[in-house]
Amino acid sequence: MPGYQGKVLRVDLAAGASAVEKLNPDWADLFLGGKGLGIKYLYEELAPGTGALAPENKMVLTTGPFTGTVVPCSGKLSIVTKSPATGAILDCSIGGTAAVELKRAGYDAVIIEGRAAEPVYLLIEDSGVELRSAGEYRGLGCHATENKLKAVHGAECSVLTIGPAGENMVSFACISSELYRQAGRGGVGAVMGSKNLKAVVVKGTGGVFAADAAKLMDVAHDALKNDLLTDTNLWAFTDGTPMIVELSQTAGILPANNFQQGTFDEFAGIKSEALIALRTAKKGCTSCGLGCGNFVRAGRSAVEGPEYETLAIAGSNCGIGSLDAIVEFNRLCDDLGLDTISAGGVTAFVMELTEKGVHDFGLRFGDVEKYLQVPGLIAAGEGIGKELALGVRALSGIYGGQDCAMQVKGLEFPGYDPRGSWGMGLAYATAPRGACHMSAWPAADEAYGELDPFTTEGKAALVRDLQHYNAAKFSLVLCDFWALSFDVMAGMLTALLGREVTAGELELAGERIFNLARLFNIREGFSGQDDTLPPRIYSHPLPSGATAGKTMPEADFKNMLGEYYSLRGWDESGRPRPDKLIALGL
Amino acid sequence: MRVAVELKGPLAAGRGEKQITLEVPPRAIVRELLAELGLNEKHVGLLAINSVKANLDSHLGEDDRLTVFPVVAGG
Repeated sequence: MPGYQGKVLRVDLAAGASAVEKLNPDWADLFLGGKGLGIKYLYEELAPGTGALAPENKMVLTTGPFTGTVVPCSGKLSIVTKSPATGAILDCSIGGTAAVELKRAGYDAVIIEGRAAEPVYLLIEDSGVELRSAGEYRGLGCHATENKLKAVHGAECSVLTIGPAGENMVSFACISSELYRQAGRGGVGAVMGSKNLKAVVVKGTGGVFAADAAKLMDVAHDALKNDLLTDTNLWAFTDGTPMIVELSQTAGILPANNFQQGTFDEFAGIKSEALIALRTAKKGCTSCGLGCGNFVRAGRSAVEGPEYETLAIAGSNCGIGSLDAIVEFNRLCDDLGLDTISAGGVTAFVMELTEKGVHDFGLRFGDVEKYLQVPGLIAAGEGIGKELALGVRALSGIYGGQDCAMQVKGLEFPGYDPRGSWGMGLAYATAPRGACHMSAWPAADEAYGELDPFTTEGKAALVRDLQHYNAAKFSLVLCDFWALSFDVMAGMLTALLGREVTAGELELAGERIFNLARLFNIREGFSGQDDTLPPRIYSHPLPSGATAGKTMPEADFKNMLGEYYSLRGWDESGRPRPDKLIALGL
Repeated sequence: MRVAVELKGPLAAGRGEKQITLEVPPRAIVRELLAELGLNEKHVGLLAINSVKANLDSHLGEDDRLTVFPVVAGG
């Protein structure tokens, strides 16, 4: 089976056993791999209403057909499960080396089921699969765990690990790899913790079969030279995501003080030039041609990062303009295994509640000392950390402040203010996993591009198309930062699989995958009522910069949402109509 | 008249300087200036004049500061 290994590893943590089964070739055709394949497994195998932290939840690690081949930017791993934060389908993507090691070990995917009686780690070395005791790693941070496991199993192996946050099932605990890369959002680390699975160690020495290896080499090389390594994508190499700080500041969508502002007076201290001044090295994932990672040393801390989301949501959004402080917060979150976006979001939320006298959490915007204590408290469930670990939606349920609880479906906002990018508001409201910037990213075309950000015109179609594009791309598994066309994807896949794949087929697969995620959520009880934004977006005007005076009125949002449902072939409550499902083969 | 141009990210490659001072005719348009600099419009993303969002058809004034960002994908 060219491109695919044709094999899936199923691990039963309760029985302490594993078995290899065949990859369903129809599923490979229709759902491609990665995100799509993971969602398909969850849809078929997870009974509705299953608790996200129950042993019956499943966690699927998936590669794509491009993984482990000469196709550049193909080194990411998808992780799909049910989210403890939202109860919805959750797909994450983690960089580093794990995807390629897994594929080279001979597997397209690993399905992790059940709960181990004692803390274990999963060791995969080609066809050798074992569950080993993780007792000695219990309580250790991600960094110590990874370093120790590499000392035992070799520096060339890949490690996916949780830290104490995951072990304590914090609702936004993440999975870390290569120390500073994460499967970040939605509590994917908590799912791993609920299974008593501390880490996955993978080493693979095999290869991937291409139907026409010479052709693939040609096509991939051409794509690398003439498409990837051009000024369309090289921002990722020169600056990395911190480039976006000044873009957002200029567009008036840089969140400050829990989205009370769209500009941040101290932005110059956290823009990419400030980081580059402290940069000591670059880093990329296996097969990467761009190397977006920045190794930065600031004060007494070093990280690969911080990424834009951290600089925005855990920086300006918390009133923190000190790059040293954000680097340390980032390092703490990476080590403890916490999503920096949700950690920053919940911190900013309680800062506002404190300052407004709603409840005194002892945290104020810009208070660096208290801010740096937050990750440790959350991971350990101590002090205010015990409550912050619940996330913004749960906290607003207890203390009030739903107005300024910047979340959708229980997932905290990423770093773009929808009042300055109306399509982004639609993207947040309709992404399957909650307020997500990975499902679709219209900010590039609106806030930083030529489209009018303050209109709904054309936005429903734009968001729909971007969602299909990313769904397909993250299922083949290609990196977000390569802005390639469906045609280029199709050309490479054709050479790899040895059969004609068209751009249209890939776009349809993207639509199929997106609709399947929607079906999963509907089956779990979600409806159009959950496709909504916090009241702050509808009614509180931003005060400064390019978005001064701007809101996104609820009536406009609802019109845009209605148009989006209609364009998608969904009914007024956001359910895919039968004829749409038939057309998609669902 | 004199304008200052800041090129961001890969757009500055091979020029030595990220900040360039140029003499341009009065009421010069951004599009023309970018062509002068040999920049391909398809690689150009956000434009700002004195930190305010602008576009390819915006006019420049004396001592204006033009910032030219590359296109970006992802997030």
